This record gives sequence, C-alpha cells and structure tokens, in this order.
Amino acid sequence: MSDYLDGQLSQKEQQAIKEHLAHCPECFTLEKELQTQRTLFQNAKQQEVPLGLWQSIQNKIIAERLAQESNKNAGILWRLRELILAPKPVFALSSAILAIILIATFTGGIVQRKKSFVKANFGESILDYSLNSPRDDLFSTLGTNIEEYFL
Amino acid sequence: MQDITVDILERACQGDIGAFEQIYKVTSSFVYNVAYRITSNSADAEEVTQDVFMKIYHNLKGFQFRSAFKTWVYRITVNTAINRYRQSSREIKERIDYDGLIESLPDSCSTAEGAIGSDNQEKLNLLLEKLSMEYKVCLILREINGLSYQEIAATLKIPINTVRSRLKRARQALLERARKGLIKDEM
Repeated sequence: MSDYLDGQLSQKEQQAIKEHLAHCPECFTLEKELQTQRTLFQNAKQQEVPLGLWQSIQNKIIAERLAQESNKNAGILWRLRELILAPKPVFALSSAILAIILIATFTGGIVQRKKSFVKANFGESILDYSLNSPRDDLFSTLGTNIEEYFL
Repeated sequence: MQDITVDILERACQGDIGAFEQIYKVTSSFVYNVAYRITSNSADAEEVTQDVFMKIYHNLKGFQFRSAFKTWVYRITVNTAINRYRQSSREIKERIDYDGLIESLPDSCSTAEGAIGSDNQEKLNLLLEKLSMEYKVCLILREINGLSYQEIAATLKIPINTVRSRLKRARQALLERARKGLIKDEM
C-alpha cells in the first residue's frame, strides 16, 4: 500500500490495487487512513528560513577569511624572523670558524711579538753579558784552555 | 530544490561569496526545514543550517562532482541535524515529556484527521518524535521534502528496498499510534 501511495508500482500493479480497493472495505479504510496521514504531512507549513541567517553565515565566512589572512601574514613574519634569528648550522659553523681565525690571528701576533721580544732580549743580554760581564771567564777560560793545550 | 549550475559551483569554489549566496538561496529552505523536522526545534534548526553552510563552504573545494550536489547537501543536512538532535537530547534529557504532551493534546488531535484541522506544526513534530530516527528521516525526506526513493537511498547511503521498507514501517507505526488514540478517545 505504501508503494501504491508513492507511485512506485507499475501501471498494471497500480490498476490491480485500485480494483481490489473497490471491493475490499478493509483495504479501502487503510488507504483512506494513509491518505489522511499524507495530507497531514503535505499540509505541514514549510518553515520560513530566519531572515538574518544568511547575514550571520556571511559574517562567519568573512571572519574566517580575515583570520586566515592574518595567520598567513603572521606566518610570513615568523618565517622571516626565524631566518634571521634562528641559529642555522651553516651560520653557526661559519661564525665559529671566524671566531677561531680572529682569536688565532690576535693570539698568534701576540705570541710572535712576545717571542721576538724574548729573542731580542736574549741576544742583547748575551751581548751585554759578553761585553759587560765583569768576569769574562767563559771566553777567557775556553780560549785559554785550548790555546794553552795546543801551545 | 532547483538545480545549481556548475558555473555557480565553480565560482563558489574559488571563493566568490556571491555565488555562495546563490547556493544558499536555492538550498536553505530545504536545509532549514529538514533540520527543523529532525530536531523539532527552531533554535537547533537555525544552528544546524549555519553548520551545514559552513561545512559546504569548507568542503566545496573537495567536492568531486561524483554525486549530485543536491544529494551531497541532503546528506550533510541529515547528518548534521541528527548529530545536533542527539547532542541536544543528551544535554536536556528530560526537556519535554512527549508522552505526557501527546496525552494532554485535545481529543481532536489524537487522530491524524484531528491534527489537520488545527495548527498541526507541533502535533506533526510530536508524532514524528515517536518514530525511531531512521524511520523519521525517511518519512521527512519523502513526505515533507518530496524526495524520490532514489534520492533518499543516495542521501542515506542505503539500498532502495531499505527505503521502501522503512517508509512502510514508519507509516504503519503512525497509523497504529493514531488508532490507539482513537481507542483511548472511545474509552
């Protein structure tokens, strides 16, 4: 009967049910009840969509788009900041090497200067020692001894 | 529901708000009415309608045109409305004692015929409320929104024969309810 009401049967089946309904009071009553039920649904007023609904949906969409835009901008700034501030391995390595070179250059210069200073002082001190030493036994003894030996 | 052209859909996919408004104009009445009948509540129906259109907006780019756009909207609507109804029922378990309300209705409303004569919005909701959700949804789509068996089957992703049997059982259940009302009146 449900299929009959919905027009889901073939013409032949539809016709057969019509004929049956004409002779069967029980099925006729059932059909009437189902038709009444259907009218109840069909008479149900279609509800009007609230007027402001589109506006609130549109506002939501706009708010979402704005949020996405600001997120995108924030994303760009953040990436830029990371690029500048974040310790990238290459940057870290190159700055470490640079630091080592600088330290090596400065400390190397100082050591060299210190060495040459020490050398110069040593030479001077020897000369000083040999020239001004009150006891020139080093030269005199050596020379004297050999000379004495050969002589 | 009118058909929506591919051009409008494509423009809406690209973010054209005007095209999306056209989609809203064509589909909103269906969405709101199905939501209203499933949730039996205008505030919930409004919320469901908003959710449905936000879901359409978010997923429009992913719509593959494998199924009809209408069917896609039907499916989103039914699922969102059912979820909302269940959520509301959980939140306010004893919001309305429907049995009590039906019994307190005037005598003329105990039968379907009685309900037709007066404002039958609430009564229809009350009758639908007595059905299980699967019967209720089938009946709403068929009787109130006029969907074909094929469209209901595609929307609910069930075989046509299941649609047929659910409609039959739903109508039977409503008739039994109306008859019980008659017997009660006679007593």
